[in-house]
Amino acid sequence: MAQKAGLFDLRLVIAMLFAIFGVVLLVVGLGFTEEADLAKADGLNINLWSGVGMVVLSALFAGWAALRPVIVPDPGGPGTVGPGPGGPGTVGPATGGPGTAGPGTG
Amino acid sequence: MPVLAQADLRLDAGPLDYTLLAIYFVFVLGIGFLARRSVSSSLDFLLSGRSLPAWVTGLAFISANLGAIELLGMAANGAQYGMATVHYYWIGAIPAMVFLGLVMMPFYYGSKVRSVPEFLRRRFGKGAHLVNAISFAAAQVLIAGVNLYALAFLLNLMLGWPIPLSVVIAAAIVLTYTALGGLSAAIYNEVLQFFVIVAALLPLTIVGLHKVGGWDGLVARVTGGPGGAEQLSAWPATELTGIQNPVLSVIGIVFGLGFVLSFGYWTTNFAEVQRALSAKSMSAARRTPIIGAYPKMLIPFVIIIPGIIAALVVPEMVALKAGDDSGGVTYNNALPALIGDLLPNGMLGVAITGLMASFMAGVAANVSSFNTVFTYDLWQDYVRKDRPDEYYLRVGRLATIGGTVVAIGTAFLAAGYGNIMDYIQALFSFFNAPLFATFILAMFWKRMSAAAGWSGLVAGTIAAVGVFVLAETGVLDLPGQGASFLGAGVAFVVDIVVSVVVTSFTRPVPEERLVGLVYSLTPKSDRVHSTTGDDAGWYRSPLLLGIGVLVLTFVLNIIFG
Repeated sequence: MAQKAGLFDLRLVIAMLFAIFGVVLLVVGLGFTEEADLAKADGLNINLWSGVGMVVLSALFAGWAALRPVIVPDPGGPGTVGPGPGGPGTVGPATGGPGTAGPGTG
Repeated sequence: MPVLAQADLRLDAGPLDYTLLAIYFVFVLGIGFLARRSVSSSLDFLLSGRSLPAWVTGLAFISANLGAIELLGMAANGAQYGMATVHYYWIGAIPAMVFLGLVMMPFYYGSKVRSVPEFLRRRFGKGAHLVNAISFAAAQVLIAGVNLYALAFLLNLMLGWPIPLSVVIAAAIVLTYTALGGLSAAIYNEVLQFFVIVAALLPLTIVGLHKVGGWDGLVARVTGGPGGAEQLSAWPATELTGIQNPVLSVIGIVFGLGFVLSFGYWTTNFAEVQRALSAKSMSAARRTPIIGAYPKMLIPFVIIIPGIIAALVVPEMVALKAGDDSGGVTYNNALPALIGDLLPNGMLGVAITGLMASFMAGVAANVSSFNTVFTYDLWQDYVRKDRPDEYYLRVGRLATIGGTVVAIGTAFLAAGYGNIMDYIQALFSFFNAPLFATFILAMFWKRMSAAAGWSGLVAGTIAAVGVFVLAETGVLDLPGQGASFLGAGVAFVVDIVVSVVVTSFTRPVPEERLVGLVYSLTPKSDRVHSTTGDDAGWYRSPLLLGIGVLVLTFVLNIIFG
């Protein structure tokens, strides 16, 4: 059964941060830009354009996360993070001295 | 240091800018808290449970390197030397990253080692392992200190925050999220940092280019400036190397920087390799450095070009470049000075956030690789063996705290150096150049003996230190980065020679212990990666991706050569 990953989806975190940054810059660029600000950036309303870029970036990440959600095939047990193929042996060093990770032959 | 503080680079940061910075910190700490839920073993904490997708580890791979030294140092080199600085990326990173993914990763990931030093222990036993584990742990704490100091210094310069306060605040933030969420928190934050850094630098580059009249304007003004037209072409970079003969300069770049220094750094530095080891499959691990190579190829455009522009439009930088009195401004100020001159409130806040992000990325990478080597390679192997895993998880957390505290102490060691890059390159050439030689021999020459492992490393390191001392005392006259390149080259050759000679007098390691570690003794089935499920598709082929980025880099070299 498809299940959401134990780790939160990083793509949504990125989307959220840039949504906030982007909207703030858009508002500043549209409503609170003075002549001095424009002059500083050589006539470009850089806040506005950066805001647009960040909102687009945010939308891309949100869209990606929505289209391809993180799916963990089968949770290996309480607390284990997505079991990688080949099972790296989540608690490697518990059984003995150095070198117990195994030579990786199998 | 006091000279710098006199320069007026104070930024006009307002409440809006601080708000954006504060929002970012909330996200950074939030990631630490969220990642904590997934930590239940030492492997989760120190190696993300080997569970991350390739795009995450790939971006983290370059973000871990995109620290303060990189950002300010490369912009400084751009301002001082011009386009030749791209060699640090196109020659000095891309080939090595592709090589790591295609050639070396099967042994790193396939052998299931948890760190680079652990590979040496499995291959050579204790001698080489101890040399590498201790030198790596020490270097990481030193570099973390350099990063912290650079951060505090910049905050003092730009925002007027007291240096000791800045060091402690930045260290506390990094410590909080790395101690809570371990490598996952560090890596997730590195990916976030990557985008914030680009979001800060890309608009800066656009405004800067607009200001100088576009690319044509940039070309015209650099050609007419004190650097002249040669600062617009990457080759032969005689200014950068300090080698007057163009042919020797190219050889110095290709062999010194491109081969020894960069392969040593990218393929054996655990702070980098660790990102790939945390990937969820062999295929993802191999793709990690190669996916990272694509943005790495493009990032000089938003770091070096702002540096070049700063030398054209910031009055103090123009004066410095012309050899006049610059009022204490140095090339390392290129990036913050340009930010202060061009960005209005709002984007200014994003830019400050980007710089902070970059600094913290560097420190977090140092700390999160230090704690792994300390826990697995020093504590578990030599101090307390055979304890339950919770014990090592606790050691990992404590090592994180201890490493950060020591880094705060070493932060002030960095004070006496003008160009931070020189210092850091020197450090790298001490440890990394001989390491690469040893690793290549270790992975492809089964006869190489255990004694050769440690003696080659020690001899190579001593040779690098020797060259460094000769250059510092003026016996060798190589300004710029030439001494580092030469030191790395000499260390590489000495390591090979010593390893070969010592091997011929000592017994080889029994072959059955080398399965999975040495090319000729590892079955092909262990070296190939799966091509099904999440690893399926031609666009996920490490070889194809690797060739692609090499071709693109070659084209860029021709366009900007």
